[in-house]
Amino acid sequence: MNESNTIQGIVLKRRDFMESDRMITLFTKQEGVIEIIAKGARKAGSKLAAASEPLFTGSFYIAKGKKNGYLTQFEPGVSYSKLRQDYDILTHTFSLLEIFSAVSIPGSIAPKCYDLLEEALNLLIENIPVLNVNLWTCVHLLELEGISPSWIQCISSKNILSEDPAWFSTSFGGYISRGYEKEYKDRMVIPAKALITFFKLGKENSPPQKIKDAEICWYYLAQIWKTHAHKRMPATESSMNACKKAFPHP
Amino acid sequence: MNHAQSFVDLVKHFESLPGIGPKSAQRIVFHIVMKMNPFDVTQFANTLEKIKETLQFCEQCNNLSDNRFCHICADHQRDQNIICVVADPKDIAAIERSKIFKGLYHVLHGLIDPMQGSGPENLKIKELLSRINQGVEEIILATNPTIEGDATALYLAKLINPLGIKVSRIAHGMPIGSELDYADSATLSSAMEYRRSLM
Repeated sequence: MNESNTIQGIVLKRRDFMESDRMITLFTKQEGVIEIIAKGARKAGSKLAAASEPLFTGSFYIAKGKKNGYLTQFEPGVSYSKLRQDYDILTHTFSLLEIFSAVSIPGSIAPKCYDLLEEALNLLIENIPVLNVNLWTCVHLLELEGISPSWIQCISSKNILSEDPAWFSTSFGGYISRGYEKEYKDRMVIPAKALITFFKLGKENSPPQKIKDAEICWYYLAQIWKTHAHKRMPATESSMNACKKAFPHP
Repeated sequence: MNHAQSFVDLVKHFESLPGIGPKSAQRIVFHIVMKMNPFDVTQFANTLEKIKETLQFCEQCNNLSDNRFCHICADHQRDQNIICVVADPKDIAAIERSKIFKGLYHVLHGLIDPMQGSGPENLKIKELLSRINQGVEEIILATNPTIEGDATALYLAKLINPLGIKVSRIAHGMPIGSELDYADSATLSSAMEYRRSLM
């Protein structure tokens, strides 16, 4: 953390810390992901309570301590309280925050990722369906992170997607045409329509209002993100489980 | 720490409790050793030993109780048609202190917290639904105004609304006796958003 004590950010998550404090994971444009302490934020009437809630966006005034930064004041930015008024939207939004939190390395600055998350949250309050926003955002996040798979061209044979369902390897980087799958131990089966959707979304500048079988697509894209994250992602699992109800168990 | 091992052991036990740091733990142990008489110490130890055996959850509302039903569920003077849903037994104590609510409670034993992997299946929701089916007029959702509290309230409202029962949520906004000038802007915006008409 540099000497500047005012920073723009989005709260990705928070956890209880000490008796009445909270440790906030803040995604900032200028400094990447940082952790700061909100002293007494769990006490009733604390002025810092609202700013320590996930999805809170604004300017954070941070005092530098010996080891940690301490939140002293804040100025709210765009209010995403609308997202807290629908359980399904909230479930999928939690997953989006979790994915950004999983890929963001503390201290590494990623202004384009920050802009992408901010854009996604703004789209959500503009009534674009939440799964469409999540799909579009997470396909573009893969690109920004430099780990975008080859959606429709086989990583071995270079053949174009021609079967349904298709083999896919997250760690080896994409679609595998029939006959080559045995070379890839971590392969999984994905419906061809999901791969085509991801390919098309990568070329879109904004999420479309309608995506056919968005639940199925999100289920598989979240699975890809889970493999990349290499850690437990409970919010993403909840989001996937919510989607699973909408289609026959794969 | 230059003390006897038994002293150090007891300090460690107190230190492991919430809200008690090393200094407070030492102070408590000094108080027990130097100021309490042996009879009081024995009584304290016996109570501590018994509490885990005797204390149970109320069969109706899941509050802490010495009997099958807690003192609130056993009180037939209370309004049996309104249930206030809370996350923890300590929330009941907080609402009871206000002396405003005369209905019954239901303790969920947690909140939906997707970030921590706690879903609706981890809460006492089935028990709440079976109580609702026995005839209730209103459900008050008194979960914390945090994102987890809101998620839980939204989930419950989604389940209960189709049953034709009134569902309400506790209000949030400006604390009584406070001044607008000193309020944080997030609380103020919430207070404006959830304002109510006076006529």
